Amino acid sequence: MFQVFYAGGIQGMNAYKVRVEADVSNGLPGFEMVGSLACEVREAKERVRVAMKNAGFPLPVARITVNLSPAQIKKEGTGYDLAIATAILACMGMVKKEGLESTAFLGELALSGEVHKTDGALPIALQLQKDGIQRLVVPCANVEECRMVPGLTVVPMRDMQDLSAFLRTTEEKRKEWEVRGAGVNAGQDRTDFMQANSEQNMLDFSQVSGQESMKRAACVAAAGFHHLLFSGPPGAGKTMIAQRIPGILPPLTREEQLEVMSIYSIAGKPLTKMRPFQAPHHTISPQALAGGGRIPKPGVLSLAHRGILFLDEMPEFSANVLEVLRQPLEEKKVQIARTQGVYRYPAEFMLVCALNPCPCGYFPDRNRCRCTEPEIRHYLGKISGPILDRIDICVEAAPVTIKDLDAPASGYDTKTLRVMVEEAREMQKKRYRETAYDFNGEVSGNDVKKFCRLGEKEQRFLEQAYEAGQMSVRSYHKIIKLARTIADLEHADEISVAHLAEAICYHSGKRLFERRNE
Amino acid sequence: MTNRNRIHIADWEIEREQSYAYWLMCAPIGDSAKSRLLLRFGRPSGVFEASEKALLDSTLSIGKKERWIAYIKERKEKNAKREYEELQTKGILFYPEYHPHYPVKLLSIPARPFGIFVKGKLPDIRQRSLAIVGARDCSEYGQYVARHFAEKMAQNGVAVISGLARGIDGIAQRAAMEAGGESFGVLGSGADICYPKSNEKLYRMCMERGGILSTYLPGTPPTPNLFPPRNRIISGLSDGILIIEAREKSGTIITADLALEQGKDVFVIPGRVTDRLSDGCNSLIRQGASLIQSPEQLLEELHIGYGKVPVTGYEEEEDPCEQGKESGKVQSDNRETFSQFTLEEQAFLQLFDLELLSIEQIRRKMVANSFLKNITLPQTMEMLMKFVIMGQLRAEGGYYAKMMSGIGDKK
Repeated sequence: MFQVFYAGGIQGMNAYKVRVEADVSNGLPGFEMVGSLACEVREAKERVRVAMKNAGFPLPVARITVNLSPAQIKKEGTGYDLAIATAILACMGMVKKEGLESTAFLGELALSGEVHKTDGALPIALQLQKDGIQRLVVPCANVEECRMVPGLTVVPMRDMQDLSAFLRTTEEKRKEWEVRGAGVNAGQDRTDFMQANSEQNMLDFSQVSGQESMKRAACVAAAGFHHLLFSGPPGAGKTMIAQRIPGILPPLTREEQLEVMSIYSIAGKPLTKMRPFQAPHHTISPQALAGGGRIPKPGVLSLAHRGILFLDEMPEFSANVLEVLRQPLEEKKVQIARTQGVYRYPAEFMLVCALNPCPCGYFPDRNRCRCTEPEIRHYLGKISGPILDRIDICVEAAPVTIKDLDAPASGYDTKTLRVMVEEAREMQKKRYRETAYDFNGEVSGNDVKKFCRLGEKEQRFLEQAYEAGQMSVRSYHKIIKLARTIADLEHADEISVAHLAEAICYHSGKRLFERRNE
Repeated sequence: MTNRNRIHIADWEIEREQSYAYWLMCAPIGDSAKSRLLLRFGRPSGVFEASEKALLDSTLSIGKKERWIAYIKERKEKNAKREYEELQTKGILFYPEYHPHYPVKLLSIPARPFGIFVKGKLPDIRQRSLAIVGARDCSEYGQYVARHFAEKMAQNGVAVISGLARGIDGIAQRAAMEAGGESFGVLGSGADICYPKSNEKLYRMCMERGGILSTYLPGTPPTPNLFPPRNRIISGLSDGILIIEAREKSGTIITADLALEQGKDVFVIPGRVTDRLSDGCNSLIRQGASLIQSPEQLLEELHIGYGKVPVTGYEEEEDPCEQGKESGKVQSDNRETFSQFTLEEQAFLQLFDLELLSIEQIRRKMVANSFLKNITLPQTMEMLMKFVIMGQLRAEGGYYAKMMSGIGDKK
């Protein structure tokens, strides 16, 4: 007897619907699985056999064949167990098939019969919904993420007993299952959104004393999607400020949330609805950053998608790791080539870097810093030109003294800054309504003239700044874009000299990297 | 006095003796032993042709004899000639102690070198010369002072002598040459080796507009033990030595001690007592070295300066040396307009010094200032840029400092 049910699989970022076919027929007793399966999928037969036995549904002494189609795609992951078990139960005549035509099953079975969480449930659910599936049976631990998908009813499944009961009842009774909560079995690590949220909410800019210029720079960077670099002595609060930047970005929209959560779901990481903040340690490998493995999983760059990638102690990162950043900074995605194809993961993040101005960290305070010029040049030289080129803002953090800690906090707190950022982004949205751009930081050189016009006075100011050696031809467009963002923050329609001056200030910090040879 | 312990060779014979002198210079014995040999045998060729026994008899006191004996045994007239020719093709001049070009000032110093190698030229005997030495990892203050003094010295015809090192040394030499003066670099390696590599440009400039001097054989790599002895040459060649920024127990202080031993004047630029980089300078002053506040004082001490440029010229706008230069002009324009700045702007400019300040540090100073308390951060940055463009402030990376126009200027 032959039965068909549906499940879903993941390849890179793309999910696809999988037809799970099972057949129980007379012949030499055995369990065969076909359909281009990776070893963890092939092992499903042992999990399913033992789980069913322990749940009180021993497999019939017959020849069982399971096929996962489309057969040309290599199947990965452990999410097919539930669909296989369902198909076999159906073959055994233990399922009321009416109403299950548009139901899909996702989940891994334990030998006890319990249903365990599976990676990538969210993108699979999104794809299955598009493919006409209306109901999705998932492990309790995956319920929350799948319920994010509009137009899809989600049924949490605890164990085999549950599954068998669900399959045997009538369609009316099944409706009751759809409203069931995830229950106590829910994986703590996956669904506790609230906890992560409150942790993020604890971080506020007002907790950082002083460092007004860094806060302002963070605000400008967040408003116009400019990449940011902090340079300063240890203990100046570079990391503290970086950690607080997600808080001043507007909350993720629903689409963005689905996008970000899909990546986390595939990577098997705890999900959050907040802006991601990724701060890899400087010993990270290029593979961990970009994503890797035989079947590539998303790396840190993709986990920072729509959020912040914070590189602390940037010169300590190995050169080949930093070079990995080049493609994503340009194309906003990571491409990983394997024999079976090219995997693309989105990686549109705001880069925030922090570094010390010299190996000891105290330059230009010559009383504390005894680094030689070549040492400093060598240290800063570890950051290559192309990476530096993509960073628009560079600010110096000043060392903090006890007196500063007592000083009253400046007017910048997370709430005010977020309002400023949101308003500035609103202005950009209007400006780039009919273009591919979202932010000032993304505008390419040719379009700068179109969107960021300068008056005569402003033009002359830039020329003067150029003559005074404060900017290069190379940085011309970047400064104008940056000035546009500053103008947006102040609700100004036209870029003024003040905006340009501030932009040049932010940009000239980078000239520390080109210190002249003396 | 100087003639008593060295030989005299007639001018027409000097060229013929050069290859033998170079052979003797390369000998693995000390400088004083070389001088003794010359005194005994009368001339380099005499030493070269002397018997092994005679040579060894006159160098009984030297320690390791093996290499010296081997050196004597291996001598061949052909080789000596060829090696001296090779030296000449490298463009390196060699002056042994009896040579008329050998710097007279070096004759009187303790442990004078037997010979000196030169690329470029030697300091003119009639020219005044000043050694400017200081810390390698110098502060902005040190850099500025070095540049300023070196320029003024160059403009007054004083040659600047130093070690072509990183920091104060190199900065002073470059500034002197850029101001049209001469500068001489004394190396702690062979004259054909540029160390540090980063000063390659300066090295070449020095070769053209002054000279590279060394007492070490060409090809000698720089090793730490070679530097202290070369410091005695730096001070020995100069009429005085100016110390800008030195830590306690630094190479610069050693140079100062050597200069005192040689009876040279030691001039010191004072620093703040909180600056570790000026500790050495300040304690030299405490010990009695002369404190220098302006280039004019220094020129006075060197007994020059009244001739070429009027001393008062530095305090006036019509400084003939500055007038030709564009930057000088901008500054003088600005100083006239200084009174046109608002009180706020004046107070803002008062915040700056030679020290590099980040925007955050500037803001902290502003918060403490009653005139500037209410200025916002964006306004601060606007003012900064304005003054940078006007030439009142200077920017280095994200740090800002006052653009200095002179030392001892009265506002």
